[in-house]
Amino acid sequence: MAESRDDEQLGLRLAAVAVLGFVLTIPPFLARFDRVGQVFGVPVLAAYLFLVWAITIGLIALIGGRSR
Amino acid sequence: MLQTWFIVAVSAAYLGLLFAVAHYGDRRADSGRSIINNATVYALSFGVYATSWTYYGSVGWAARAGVGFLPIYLGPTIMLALGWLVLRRIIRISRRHRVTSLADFVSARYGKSTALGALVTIIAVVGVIPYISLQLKAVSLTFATLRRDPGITSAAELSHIPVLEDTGLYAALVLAAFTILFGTRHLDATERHEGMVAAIAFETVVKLAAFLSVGIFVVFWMFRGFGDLFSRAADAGHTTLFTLHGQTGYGSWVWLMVLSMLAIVLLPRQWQIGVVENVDERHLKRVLWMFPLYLLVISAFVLPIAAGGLLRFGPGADADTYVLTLPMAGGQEALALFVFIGGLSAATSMVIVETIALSTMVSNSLVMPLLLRGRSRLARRDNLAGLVLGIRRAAIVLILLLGYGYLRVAGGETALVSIGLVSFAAVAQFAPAILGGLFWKGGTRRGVLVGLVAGFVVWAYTLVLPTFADAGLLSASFLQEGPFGVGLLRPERLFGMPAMDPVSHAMFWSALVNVGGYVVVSLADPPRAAERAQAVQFVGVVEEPFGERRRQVRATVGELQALLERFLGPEGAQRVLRSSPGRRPDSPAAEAPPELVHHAEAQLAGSVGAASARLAVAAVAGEEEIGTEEVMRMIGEASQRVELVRWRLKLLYDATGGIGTTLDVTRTAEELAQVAVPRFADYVAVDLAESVLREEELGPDGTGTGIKRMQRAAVSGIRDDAPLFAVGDRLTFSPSSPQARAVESGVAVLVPRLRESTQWREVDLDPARGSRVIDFGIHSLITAPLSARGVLLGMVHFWRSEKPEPFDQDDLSLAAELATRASVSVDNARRYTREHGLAVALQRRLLPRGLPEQNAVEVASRYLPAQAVGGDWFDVIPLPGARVALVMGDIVGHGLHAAATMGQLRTAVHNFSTPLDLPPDELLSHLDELVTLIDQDAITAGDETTVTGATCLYVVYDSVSGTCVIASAGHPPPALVHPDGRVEFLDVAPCLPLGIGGLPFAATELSLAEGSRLVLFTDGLIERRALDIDVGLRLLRETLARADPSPEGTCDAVLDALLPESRSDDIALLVARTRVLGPGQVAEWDVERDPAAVRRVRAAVSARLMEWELEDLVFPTELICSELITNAVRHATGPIKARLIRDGALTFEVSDHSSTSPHLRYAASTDEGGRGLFLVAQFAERWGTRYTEEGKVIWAEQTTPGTAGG
Repeated sequence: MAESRDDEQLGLRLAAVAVLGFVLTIPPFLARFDRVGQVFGVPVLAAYLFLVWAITIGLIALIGGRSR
Repeated sequence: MLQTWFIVAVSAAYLGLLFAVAHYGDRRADSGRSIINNATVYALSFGVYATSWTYYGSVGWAARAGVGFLPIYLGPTIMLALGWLVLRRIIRISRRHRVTSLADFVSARYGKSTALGALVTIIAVVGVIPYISLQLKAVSLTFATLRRDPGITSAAELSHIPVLEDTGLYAALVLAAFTILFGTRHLDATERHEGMVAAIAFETVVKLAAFLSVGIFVVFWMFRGFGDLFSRAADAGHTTLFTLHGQTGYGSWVWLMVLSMLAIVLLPRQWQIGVVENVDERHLKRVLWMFPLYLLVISAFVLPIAAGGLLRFGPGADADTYVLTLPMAGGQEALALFVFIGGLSAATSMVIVETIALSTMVSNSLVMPLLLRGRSRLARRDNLAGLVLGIRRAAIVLILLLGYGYLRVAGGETALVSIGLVSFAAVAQFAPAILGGLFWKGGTRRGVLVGLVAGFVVWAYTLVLPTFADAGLLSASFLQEGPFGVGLLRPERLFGMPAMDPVSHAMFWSALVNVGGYVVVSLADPPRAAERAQAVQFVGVVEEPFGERRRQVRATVGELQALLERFLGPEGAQRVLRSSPGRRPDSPAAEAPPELVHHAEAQLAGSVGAASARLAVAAVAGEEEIGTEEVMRMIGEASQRVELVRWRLKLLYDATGGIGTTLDVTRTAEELAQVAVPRFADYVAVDLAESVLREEELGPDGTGTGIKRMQRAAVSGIRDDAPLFAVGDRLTFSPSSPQARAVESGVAVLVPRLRESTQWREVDLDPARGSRVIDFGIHSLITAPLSARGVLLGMVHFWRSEKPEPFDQDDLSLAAELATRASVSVDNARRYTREHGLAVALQRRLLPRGLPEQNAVEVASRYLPAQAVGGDWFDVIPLPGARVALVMGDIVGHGLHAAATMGQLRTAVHNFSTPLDLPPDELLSHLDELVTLIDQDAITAGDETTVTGATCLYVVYDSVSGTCVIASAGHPPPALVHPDGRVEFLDVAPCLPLGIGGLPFAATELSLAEGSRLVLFTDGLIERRALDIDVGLRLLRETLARADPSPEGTCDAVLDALLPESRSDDIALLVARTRVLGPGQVAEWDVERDPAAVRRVRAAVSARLMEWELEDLVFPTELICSELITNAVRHATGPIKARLIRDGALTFEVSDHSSTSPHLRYAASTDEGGRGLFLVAQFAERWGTRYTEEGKVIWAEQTTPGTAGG
C-alpha cells in the first residue's frame, strides 16, 4: 500500500499545525498572557488558550476536510 | 434528599442501559451492519480519554491552579494533529502485522521478542493501577457525597471508611463483573469488541451532557454569566484562577503537555480504542478535529465551575467534588443525580476499556507465552479459548482489586489528578520504544529492554515511592534525607536536582535514562536480522514508491562502475560500460555523462527491476540518502519480484496442464478449484450456471434458462470447514454483490479487504453468512466470471484466509487469466458433453433394445460405444421357417453422422430381411445400392462425409437343416467354435465394402453341428493401434477355444481378454449358439402333382398335429394346407414339398420350383377361385413367400397355444 502524495502532504500540513499550536501554548507566548485580568468577562489566559485551541482545531478540520 | 437505594437503583439502571447498548452493538456487528464502522462513533469512542479525572479532577485542579489543568487537553490536540503521521502508521502496522495490543506492537517491532512483550505488559499494569484506583476513588467519593445530600461533606470526613463500608470495593467488584460480561464473552481474533465501543461512544455523550448541564447551571443559574462569576472571583481574591504564575511552573506546563501528548497514544485504553478497534484508517481524519473539539467543549466550564465552587464553599471543601456539590448546594437533586451518573459513566468507560486492554496484554503477552513454554501439554489442548478467557477474567478481577488496594494504601488523601499523572508518567516510558521504533530503524531489542527497565525503575523510585511515603508506609525521612541518609538519592531531589515539581522531576530523569539507554545500547549493539526485517517493515509502512522524476544525476564513472559490479559482477559491468552509446569518458574519476547514467540504470533495471535500479543509481549519485541496508532490501525485493513472476508463470503453466484433462464439465471445474489451492488462494469455489450443468444450449446473450442461477460445482480449500456454499448448493447473488458486478461487467472483480466492503455483506439474502465468512478469517476475494464465446458459463471465486496479504492487482490479472483458460475448457467440455449425449441417445435408440425371441439360436451380445459415438451395429432378426438372420455392421467414422447412417442401414436390413426375406448376397446387393444412393444424396447436398466403406456381415441360419448362409461386404469373417472347441475363422467370400458398387456379393453356405457358436464382431475388437490384427485374431481364437460354451460366457470371456483400456472404436460382439430342430419338431412330405395328394397330405398333417397335441390347430392348419397345396399343384412346376415345423410357432410351408409369386387378392363375390390366400391370411398369424435357389417357398405361421404372440 503506497503512500499517496496527498496523504503525505496532509501529514506534513497537520504537523505544521501541531507545531504552531504547541509553540503558541507554551512560554514565551504563554507568559505574555499570564496576567490577572478579564477579557469578555473571562480570565485573559484562559481566553487566550481557548482561542488558540479553537483556531488549531479549526485549522485541522479545514486541512483534513479539504483533502479527499 | 436522595435515598441510597434510589441512587443505587438509578446507577444499576444506567449500567443496564449501557449493557443494552453494548449488546445492540454486538448484535449489529454479528449481522454485519456494524455501527462502529463510522468515523463519528470512532471519534466519540476516543472520549474514553475523559475519565473521572477530567470530570471531577480537572475542577479540583483548576480550583488550585487555574488553567494549569489545560495541558492535559491541549497535548492530545497537538498529538492528534500529528496523528496522520503517527497514529496512522501505528494503525496500518497493527493491521498488517495483526498486532492486537501495545505490548504486542513493541514485541513485534523488535524481532518478536517475548521478553519485551512481557515487560511492557508488566509496566502497563503497574503503571495504570493508580489510574484505576483514581476512578474507584471518584466513584466512592461522589457516592458518599451524594448519599449525604444535602449536607456537604469535607474530604477528611470521607476518608477512613472501613473496608466493608467502602463503596470503592463494591464499585471495583461491580465493575469487574461488568467488564467480564462486556469484554470476555468470546474470543475474537482481532481482539475487537464492537459492543464495547458502542457503549463507550454512548458514555462519551452522557458525560458531556452531564458536565455541560452543571457548567450551565453554575454559570447562568447560580451566577449571572461568566463576567459576573469571574468578577466576583477576582473580587474575592481567587487570583489562582487567573494566572499560572506561582501555581504551575512553565517547565511543568510543558512537561504536562508532553506527557498528555504521549498518553493519548500510549495509554492502553487509548491504544485499544484508537488502534485495535479502528475499523477504517480513514476514520482517523474525523477524529483529528472532532476529539479535540470534544475536549475543548468539556474543558470550557472547568474554570467557571471551579470559580463557582470556590466562591460558594470557600477553600476548605474538597474541590474534586465541586461538580457534584454545587448542584446539591443549589438544591437541584435531579441534576446532582444526573451529574453522579455522568461521573459514573466517565469512570466505567475508563475502567472497562483499560481493563480489557490490560487483560488482553496479560493473557497474550505474559501468561500464555509462559504457559505454552513451560507446560507443553497446554499447547496441545484442543481448545485454548476457554483458558484464555479464564486468564482474562482473572486478570480483570486482579487489576481492579489491585486498583482498590492502591487506593486503600496510598491514594486515600491524594488529589485525583496527582494519582492520574503517576500513570501518565508510567505509560510515557513506552514512547522511546514505540515512537523511536516507528521512525528509527536502528533501535534494537536490547536497547528497548535497557531503556524501559531503567525508565520504569526511575519512575517507580521518583513517583510511586513518594506516594507510599506520603501515605505513611515509608518513613518521611526517606523523602527528606534519602535512603540510608544518602542525600543524592532523595526520590524527589535525585542527584540534588534543584526544586522541580515531582512529575517534571520524574519525567526528566526517567526520560533521560530511558531514551539514553535505548539510543546508546541500540547504537552499541547492531540489530539482529529478525529485528532489522521488522524494523524495515515498520518504519517503511507508508513509504511511497518512487515515481518518475526528472533529475540531474552527478556521479563519476568509477562510482557507476562500482555500482554495476555489485549487481552484475565485474564482467557484466565492463560489458555495460562498453555498450554505452556516445562518448566514452577517459578516467574513472571523470563525471559520467547523463546518457551513460541512464544506460547503466536501464541495464540494472533489467536485473533488479526499475524502481530498485533507480534507487541504486540515485544512491551512488548522492541524490538520495540510501544505506547499504536499503540497497540490500531492494535487491531482496527485486529477487522476490522475479520469484513472484516465475511463480505466476509456473501456476499458469500448471493450470494449462491441469485444467481440462477430461471433457467433463464438473471435473474441469474441480481441476480449476484444485490448481489454485493452496498456492494462490486458500479457498476456491467454482459455480456453474445451471443450464451448463443441465447441458442446455445457451443463448449468446446469456439469457438461456437458468443462467441467473448458479450451482456450486466444486470447492477446494486448505480446510474443510469454511462457511462457504457446499457443492450442489444453488445460489443467486444479490445485485450489489461483487459476484453480481463481475457477472455484469464480465471482468474479474477484486475485493482486497472483505471487512471493509459493504457490498460483501449483501452477498446473500442471509447477511450473517457474509459475517461468518469474515469471522472465519477469510479476508480477501477475487471473483471472476467464466465466459466463452460471450456466454456466461459460471464463476470462480478465490479467497484468502491464512495468507495474510490481500489480493492485489497482479493477483487480479492472474485470476482473470486462470478463469479464461478454465472457461475454454469448460466450454469445450460442455459442448462435447452435449453432442456426445445426443449421439449416445440417438445410437441407443437405433440399436436393438432387447434381442427378439426366436428359437433357432441362443444369442448373447455386447455393444461398447467408444468415447466418440461410432457406427457399429448388430441385429438378430427372426425369419420364418425356424430361421434367424444375424447382422453385424460397421459404418466408417464416428459421431452423429455415423450413428444416423447406421440407423438408416439397420432399418433397410430389417426391411430386406423380414418381409422380403432376401437371401444374404441379394440383400447385400440391395444394401450396396442404398448406400450408393445415400452417398449421392450426400454429395449433392454438399456433404463431405460419405458412407462408402461401410461393412456388413449377414448370416442366415436355418435351424431345420442346420445350415447357414453367410455373405459379407468387406466385414471381418465370423469365428466359428465347433462343439468340440475347435475354432476357425470362416472362409467367407471377401467382397467389397458397401457403396463401392459394381461387383456382386457372394454367399457361402455351410452346415453347422448343433451347439456350434458363431462369433460375429466388428474390427474394434481385434484391431487397434496397440494391437496388430493378427495378434488380435490369435488372441480371439485362443480365448474362444477355452471360453465357457454359453453365449453369455463366451461374450464375457472375449471382452475380458480383448477389451482395451481406452476404446478408440466401438466394439460390437454377437455370439450365437446354434440349435437344430429334431425329428419331433419337423415333418416333411413330398407332394405329387395330383389333386388327390392334397387329401393325403392334409390327413398326414392332422395326424401329426394330433401327435403333437395341437388339436386346436388341426382345423385351420388343414385349411391352410389344402389351399397352399392346391395352389401349388395347380400352378407350380417341378417337385412340390410340404413341411410342418413346430418351433414356438407352427409353420406350414410349401415349396416348389416356380418363381411366380402368389399375391393376396380380394376376390369379387362372383369369382370362382382366388379366395385361397385370403383364407390363409385370415387364419395364419403371418404368411409370406421366399425365394430359394430352386424356386420359392410359401409359408404360413400360426401361434401355438402356450406360446405368447406369434
